Amino acid sequence: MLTAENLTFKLKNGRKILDNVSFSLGAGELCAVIGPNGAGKSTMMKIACAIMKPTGGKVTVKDKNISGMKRHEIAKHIAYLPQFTHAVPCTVYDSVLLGRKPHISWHPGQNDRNIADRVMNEMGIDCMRDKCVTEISGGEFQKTLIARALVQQAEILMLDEPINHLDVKNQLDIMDSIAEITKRSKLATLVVMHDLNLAMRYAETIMLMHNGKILYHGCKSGLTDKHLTEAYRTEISIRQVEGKYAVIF
Amino acid sequence: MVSRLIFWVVLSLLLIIFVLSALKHGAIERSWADTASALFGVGNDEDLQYFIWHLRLPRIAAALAVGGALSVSGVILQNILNNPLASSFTLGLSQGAAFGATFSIIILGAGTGLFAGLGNVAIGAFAGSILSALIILLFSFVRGMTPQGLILAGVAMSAFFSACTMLLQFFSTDTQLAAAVFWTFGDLGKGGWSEALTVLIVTMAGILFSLRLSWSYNAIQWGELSASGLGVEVKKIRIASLAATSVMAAFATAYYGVIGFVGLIAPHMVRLIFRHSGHGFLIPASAVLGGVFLLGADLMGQLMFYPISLPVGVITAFAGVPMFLFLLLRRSMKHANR
Repeated sequence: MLTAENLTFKLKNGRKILDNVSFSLGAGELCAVIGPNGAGKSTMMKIACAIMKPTGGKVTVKDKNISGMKRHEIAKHIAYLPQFTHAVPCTVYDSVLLGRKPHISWHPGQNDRNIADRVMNEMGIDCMRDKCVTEISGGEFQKTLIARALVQQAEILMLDEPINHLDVKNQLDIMDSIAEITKRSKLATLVVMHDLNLAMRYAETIMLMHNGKILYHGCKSGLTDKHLTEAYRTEISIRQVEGKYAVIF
Repeated sequence: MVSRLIFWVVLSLLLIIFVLSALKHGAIERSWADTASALFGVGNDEDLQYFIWHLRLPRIAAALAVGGALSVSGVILQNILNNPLASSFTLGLSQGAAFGATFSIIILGAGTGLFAGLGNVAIGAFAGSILSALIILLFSFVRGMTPQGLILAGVAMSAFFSACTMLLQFFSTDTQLAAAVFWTFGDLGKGGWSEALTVLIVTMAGILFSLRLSWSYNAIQWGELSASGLGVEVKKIRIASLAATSVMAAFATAYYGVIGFVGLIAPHMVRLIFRHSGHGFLIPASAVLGGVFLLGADLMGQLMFYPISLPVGVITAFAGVPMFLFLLLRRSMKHANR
């Protein structure tokens, strides 16, 4: 579904933020992008959805190079949720409906409203549709933003740290929703995460980044202690406890 | 909570009251019946007919058009520059227009004999305003230029054009100085039908343009990254909107002088009443409220020290400065509470 080939991003001082990064993502695949701060995860994501231009390489969606596409066309294929989003005073419903932006020319129609209603119901936020976004909790806000991304009805979902600063219950709720929707709607989902345990719990594939390069990309069962220890420069080990992965550090 | 229906009803009632008052009151005052007769051209009072059809109605149209233009410019600039204090006035367009008008009067000799050659003064003001806007636009093309950087560029342009205006005034004769200073007083009595209709057409085009982009503006409110993720070409929209608002504000300022703060008052009044409103409502509501506010302010200026008529720019500044400071304080308190 999504293929990145030899993505490189170099600063003017010559420092490489991304160094020859290549990967592909299939339908129904939930891939967790992990790695230490400054590894190039967010930059890779911004380049993969054409918000930033790479200094080298290309990204294709369904064999079509996205560098030649218009912004709203890209948004029909890729829904992107940035790492930091400030709340704007509007209702939860309006902020979710905004996800239909790539599909509307003047104003949203009944079909757009129906899609927003359905997604809000699926995410369990339909009860707060008239609440102001600035007055809801962090978890509810994050669910609202994810609902907005889903309303875009793109085949590819890119979420940059969607569960940061949330309590455990909200983290699990949100990751449950993302995993379930990825499977059901056959989305290709890329999630930047810092919680290694949650990454191992929900993702099918793991992309471990370090110094702008992919250190490991593949099935989570193939990720080893050595990979993690090398990337994070601290002793990390992966164990199986009652059939579940546990990352110990 | 005020419903949108109540808002439009109250605004319509205010509009009717202000229009009727503006038609009746002025240098010649007659009864309501005579005023109505003159309005429909059935009375014998030719003086009154002339006043209503050639002075008062164009002035009403000018108030609605200029108020609408400045308010819509304010809404758009506050959005694309991500700053609630942005307007054509704070961005230096008005000061550019003032410089252009002063240049026409003092260097090119237009406008002496009070309104002789108003056309030339307006062309000069328009050119000054567009020049200021073009410089800001050029800045917007600079790679890595932030909205905050554009606001600061506007502040610098304001200071620059004010200094140029002062320099010209310093070397002018008393007559030229009087004409130049008089022009800077925003006054809706400066133009006739052609000026009012020109501004009205430009304003209507500007409103349609901005309504077409209202959902893009809603997305831009969430920040550049979110808007880009939603398929909005933020930079292109910022440049196109900056150009459109500049043209709207330039026409209004060129014909009617510097009228500040309308672009702040009307949009923020709407935002205060309807906290959650998107741009699909904010743009038309601000346009109408701005027009009605300017009409009311003009009426106040005419009646407060009757028979002396105050320029409307003075009234809007007196109303606008407290609003500006209130917004500044509210913003500072919001930041302090974070």
